[in-house]
Amino acid sequence: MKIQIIKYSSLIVVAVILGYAIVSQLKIEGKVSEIIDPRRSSVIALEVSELIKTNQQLLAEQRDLQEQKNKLASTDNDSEESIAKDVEKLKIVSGATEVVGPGVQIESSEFLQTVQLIDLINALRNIGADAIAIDDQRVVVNTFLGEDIFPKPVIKVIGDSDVLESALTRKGGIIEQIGGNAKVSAQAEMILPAIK
Amino acid sequence: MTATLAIIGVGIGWLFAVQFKTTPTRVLNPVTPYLSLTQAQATLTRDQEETKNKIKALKKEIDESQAHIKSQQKSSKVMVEELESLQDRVGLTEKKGKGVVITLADSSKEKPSIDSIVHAADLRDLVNILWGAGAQAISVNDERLTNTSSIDSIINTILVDNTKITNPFVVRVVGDQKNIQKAIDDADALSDIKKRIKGEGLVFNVEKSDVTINEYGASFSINFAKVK
Repeated sequence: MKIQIIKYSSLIVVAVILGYAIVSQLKIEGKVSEIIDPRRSSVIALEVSELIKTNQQLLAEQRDLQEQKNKLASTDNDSEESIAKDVEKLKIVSGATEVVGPGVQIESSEFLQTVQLIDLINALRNIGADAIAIDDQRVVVNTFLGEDIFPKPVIKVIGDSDVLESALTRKGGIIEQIGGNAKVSAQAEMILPAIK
Repeated sequence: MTATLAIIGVGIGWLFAVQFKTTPTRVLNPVTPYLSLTQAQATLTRDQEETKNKIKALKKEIDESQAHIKSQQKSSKVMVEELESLQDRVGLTEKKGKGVVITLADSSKEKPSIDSIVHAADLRDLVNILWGAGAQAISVNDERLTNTSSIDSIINTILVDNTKITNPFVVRVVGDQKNIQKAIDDADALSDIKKRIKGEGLVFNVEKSDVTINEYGASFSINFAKVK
């Protein structure tokens, strides 16, 4: 009888250890898989790359502003020049004047729906565009994209033509995403009209 | 009995072996890049915040210098006034007026689905409708929209001008309240969002009120276009 109890109790001890080992093993695996979930890591990696891009832009902006501030503080001629430069820049941003520069032209061979156009213009702004026109109508902040736009528009974008061309046409890029069959061509110089 | 014990013993031995073998190889490798990524993310976010604050301070100093120059030199006065009017047009000044505040938020349903949460595309569609209704200024979670603004997403994270914004999404609009309400109520407008409000409990709330929209926090970089 006594021997039997000893035998069982040792079995119980073994069973408890075994249970503990299994549970801790599962716990560790759970934690590891949570951390190494490739989706989570890649989301953070994407966010980090966006952050790097934005921070570079912000630092460039900060340098420009610092320069502008220094000019304003110096001689009258310099300060006037600085204000004139700012006026010219904001004329471009607001669409107040005709603008000229290099960039790309996008010609869609299929009908573009409004949502596709919204996504395309949004992507152009994200890539970095100094000025955009759809069928020779300048696009500015409050331009409404609706049915009145010709379904196969020609879109002209002033900006870095290399960056624009590769970002637009790369695999998984916006042209592919909106399912459009569009021709993107680099242009040395284009003229975009002022807003009406 | 001995046989059972032997089997259990082998089982434990195997578990321990697995435990010791897997711990270093499986944990160390994937965790290190994950940790450095999250650290990089935190550092970069802090950097961004700092640079934004510096830019804000610089812009204020520049505005002050310009105001000073305007008062000093008559010839510059016209130019500074032109600049101020342009700054107002592109979103570099605060905008106050009658308008609406629209709240777009994820459904509170327990099991979220692709259709019950807000997407960047929803905000893009909404903003487009609002401009169509003659809105004068719009901000999304206090990020002022400008000619260079984009609303994007990385998987389920929404970014306005590469700044992360989170649910609920509050869209402030200065503009004609009647026109905006009419444009939103139009049967053809925002059909996808409206379907999901009914079916998935997506939150969409329009409130008419006096609205203050803050100015664009950054500045514009124009490197390729020139005035013709």
